[in-house]
Amino acid sequence: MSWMLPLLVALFGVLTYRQSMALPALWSVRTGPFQHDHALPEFAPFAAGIAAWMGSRNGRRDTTELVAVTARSRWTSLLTTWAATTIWALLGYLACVAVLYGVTAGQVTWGAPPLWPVAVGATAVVAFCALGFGAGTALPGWFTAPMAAVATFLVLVVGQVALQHNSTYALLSLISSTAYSTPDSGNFYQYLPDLPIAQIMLLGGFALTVLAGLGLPRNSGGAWARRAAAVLTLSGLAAVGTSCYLVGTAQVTAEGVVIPDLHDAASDQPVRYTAVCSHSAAIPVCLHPAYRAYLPEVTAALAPVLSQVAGLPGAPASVDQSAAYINSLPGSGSRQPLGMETITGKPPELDIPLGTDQPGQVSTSDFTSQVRMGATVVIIAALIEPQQGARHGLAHVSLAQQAIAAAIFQVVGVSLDALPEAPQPGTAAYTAAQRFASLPAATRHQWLAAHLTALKHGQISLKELP
Amino acid sequence: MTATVGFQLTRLHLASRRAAYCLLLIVACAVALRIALHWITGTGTASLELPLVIEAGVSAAIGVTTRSPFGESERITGRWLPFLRLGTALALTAASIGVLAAGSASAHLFDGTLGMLRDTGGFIGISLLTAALVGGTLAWTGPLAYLAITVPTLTKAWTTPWLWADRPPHDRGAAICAAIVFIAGITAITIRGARDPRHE
Repeated sequence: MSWMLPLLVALFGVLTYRQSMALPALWSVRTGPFQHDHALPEFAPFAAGIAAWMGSRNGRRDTTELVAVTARSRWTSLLTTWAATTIWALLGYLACVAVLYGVTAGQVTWGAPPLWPVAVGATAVVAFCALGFGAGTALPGWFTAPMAAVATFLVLVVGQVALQHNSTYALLSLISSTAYSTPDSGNFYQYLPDLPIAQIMLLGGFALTVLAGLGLPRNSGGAWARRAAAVLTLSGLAAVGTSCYLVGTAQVTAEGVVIPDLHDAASDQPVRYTAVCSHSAAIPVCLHPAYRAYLPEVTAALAPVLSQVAGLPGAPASVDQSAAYINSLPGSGSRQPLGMETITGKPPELDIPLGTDQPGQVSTSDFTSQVRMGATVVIIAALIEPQQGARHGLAHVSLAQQAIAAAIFQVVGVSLDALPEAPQPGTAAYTAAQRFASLPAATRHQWLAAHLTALKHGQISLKELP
Repeated sequence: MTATVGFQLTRLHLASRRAAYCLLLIVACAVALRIALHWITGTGTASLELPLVIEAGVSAAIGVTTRSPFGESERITGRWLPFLRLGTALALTAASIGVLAAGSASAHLFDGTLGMLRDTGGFIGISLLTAALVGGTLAWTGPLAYLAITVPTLTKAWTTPWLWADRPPHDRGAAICAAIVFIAGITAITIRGARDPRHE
């Protein structure tokens, strides 16, 4: 196994490390590729293949009987060989994870590294080593190692397919921990350990069953050893069955997968944090401390629209960050972005979600325009027609409301394309919007402060606009 | 060399390389492909990934058949050995492509038979090159490493033709790269044979 490590480290560097480092410096985001796409497909098939190779060694060399008469029992010698292989594989895996986590720790501004995915990955390496070793021992041959490796790869891919087929038991798939955690896990709400615990139980159960099963044959050791092996085999099978039962009761919630029998109610508490705020815009703009690096861009994105509406009735008095993602319905295996800025509370507060499309992944100008557009749409909706809202289009609002909405969009530099059914050039509403937008900022603000309530109730006609 | 002797020599060579086991595994892979194609529907990543994993399995099995159980003695005395190695590799390649094509017949193979031909050929080339470098018994590590790189990048916008499995079936650059790797693998295994690790 040791001479396979350079290949595995190279694969980890080219795929997982490279992709992780290209993502924003957030624990939940940086560890995504490590959990999902790469680390296990890199390590598990090779670990299983090499373990099968080591397990079939005596059989391939026709030395099984020779080894059987040594001082140690056959079971002991097999477990020793398995342990040697597994320790090398684990060392490689953990070393790669340590490098990834170490570099990330130096870049993130808040939070702690999620350790449950590492525990699941390490247990998976141990389990696949055990399964490969068992296959090699049972079917010693030249083709066993490659077939064990390919079968492992197949298991990982099939788990992914099962997730797409909405199976509850697909939660046991090793990539499901990513599918059912979000970039907000650990930032806004706790990383739920329920599913990782069930996965570790399953993988540990498989490993225990196979390794203990090696001690069951008559020539494996003494009577006591074989009885112990039988008990351990049953324990492993019980762990596998229990994990399947537990996952069968799982519920996918907004914060992740909840397994009632494993769930700790303390995990439901939102994560406490002190927001970081900027006061350079018309109203305070606050973000989660993990997103501290993006505060200047977010403030710059919101400043134009906030300067237009600050102090108006119904306009937000502060900006705060909200969770960006929510898990979809049970079994669908995908995340849905909340994707909606909202204005709630008294005094009104604008909550903005920041997804993973942050500077570094998209250009700063794209990021700025996305944030500005989302905030402008919801603010205008709150100002001119809370019941229908600009978010749903302007078809059901008065022409005057359409004109004011279009004018503010134009002033803050957001394309009218973002506004469904916006006034078209040549129409009276469009001309009024142009006229209103060309007024000095103070005049616009003054007029809005005086007439916004009447405008909101549809009591102002297009001709009455300045 | 008479026809009878030639036949006997070929038969013994194939037996020493466990070609029959390899053929059995190829058929098993084709059955797995058929089941997978029945199971997966639509155009998701699984419809790309599962056939690739199975093609890698086929190539890994072919790589193992390059291992010589006789080593030095066979290499020195076997005058026809390069031809036998070439014939074995080509025959197993043809068999694998034929059997996989049969396995995917009347089912929706996302990249089509052309894509399967390209990907399998490329995988076999990698397997044979790995066998020439590190030995037939570990030839499977090459296709597996390539698979580990290819599968996660299937949904990414990587455009290098060397990741031919990520490219559309009619991509000429990808086909050329896969063909180059296959020819290099066949050439290496014909001329040099698989490396004989001393400890096996």
